[in-house]
Amino acid sequence: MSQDPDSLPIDSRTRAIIDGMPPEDKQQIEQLMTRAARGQRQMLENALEDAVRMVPAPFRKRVQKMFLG
Amino acid sequence: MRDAATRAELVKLARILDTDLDNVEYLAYMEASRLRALREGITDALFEKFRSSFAGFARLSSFLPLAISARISQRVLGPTLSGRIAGEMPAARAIEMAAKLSDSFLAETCLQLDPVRARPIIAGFPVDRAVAITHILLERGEYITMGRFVDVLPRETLFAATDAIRNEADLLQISFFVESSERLDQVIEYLGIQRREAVIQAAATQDLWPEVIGTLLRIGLKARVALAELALAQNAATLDSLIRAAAANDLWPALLQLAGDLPGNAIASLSQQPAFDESAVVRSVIDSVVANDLWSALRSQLASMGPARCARLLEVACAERAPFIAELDARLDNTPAPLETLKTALESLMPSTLAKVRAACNHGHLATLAEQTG
Repeated sequence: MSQDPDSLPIDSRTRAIIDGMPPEDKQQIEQLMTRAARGQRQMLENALEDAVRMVPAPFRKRVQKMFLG
Repeated sequence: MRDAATRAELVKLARILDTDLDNVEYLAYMEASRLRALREGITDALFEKFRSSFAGFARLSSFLPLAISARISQRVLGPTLSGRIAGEMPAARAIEMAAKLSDSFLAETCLQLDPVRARPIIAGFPVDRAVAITHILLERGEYITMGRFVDVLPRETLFAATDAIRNEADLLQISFFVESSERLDQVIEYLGIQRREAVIQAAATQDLWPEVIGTLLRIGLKARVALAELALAQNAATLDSLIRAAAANDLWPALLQLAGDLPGNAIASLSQQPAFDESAVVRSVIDSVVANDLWSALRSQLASMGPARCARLLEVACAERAPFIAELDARLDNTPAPLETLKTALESLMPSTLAKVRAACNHGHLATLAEQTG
């Protein structure tokens, strides 16, 4: 089973707080966390594309290699 | 004060989750400390999750010319990502780049910056730019962000920013969101007596007593006593506004907690204010004592309140909150001072009220006093 790309690496203390919530509240905060992670991931993906375009040609390959391996 | 502290945490949580306050308000039942732990955990997770990307952008800025890095930051990354990437940049480089960015962009970035992660940048940030950003954040009413920065700003910058804030009501609103009590102590000490008095006046005229009380509860004992005494030494109109705010916002638990740190005459002057004659105010005290189990605190303040105020308490309780009399009867111990005050109070009651006190009591100290009276 593949891992959700927008799941957050929550530490045990935070996990305990979330697990201690009533089921509906827990579900709601987890949805908000996933949405925040997704929003941040999309922002970064878009920013990378735009940044590569803005970087002067001599640096472009280096930037692409840095992010994409 | 739990509600206000909780509200502050909910606002911060909503910001880190990039959502509206409405979407997290369902968590208002949680303690502020627990919400804070939750918020810090989510903040860390959001940084950890994308750390490699943030670090990548930070590295990018290390080999690109500064002007291009600044343009990418302002045009492509925007304040949210720039704020998070800043935490991964060498402080000196971040400060150099900041010099190429506008004050308004930096102010926006501050909203997204985790001040703790950015501490090395903040430590070396030019004071004049910090003051310029302070003005922008102030204009936008960004008290939460400003409060968070108080925790990490170097003293020189903190005091320069404090000087730049001319409206004491703004200082109060910011202080409410400061997490470090030591920093609050430092700012209060720096303010000096005149500005401290202006802060109290701002609370009275702009209905900010919950913010004052919330701040008082979080600062060190010395500053707390000094500021609370200053508040209680103000004119009748100021004290009246404090009493009405306490009744409206149930600040009695916090006030009774503060009263424990103050000399008796401080509370006596508050309790002698005319507002304490009003049944609605007295009722709010009674309800708060019952709801928050403040019997011990009330007991310790009875002597300072004096016989007239204790008599009014008994009158209102007899008329509208009879179970309070029974509980008070059960909760009194044999400490002489409150019993003597209550004895004098009972002697001043109308016979019909005294009869009601007797009827409401069981076999406690108040019952004994009531039997001995009249």
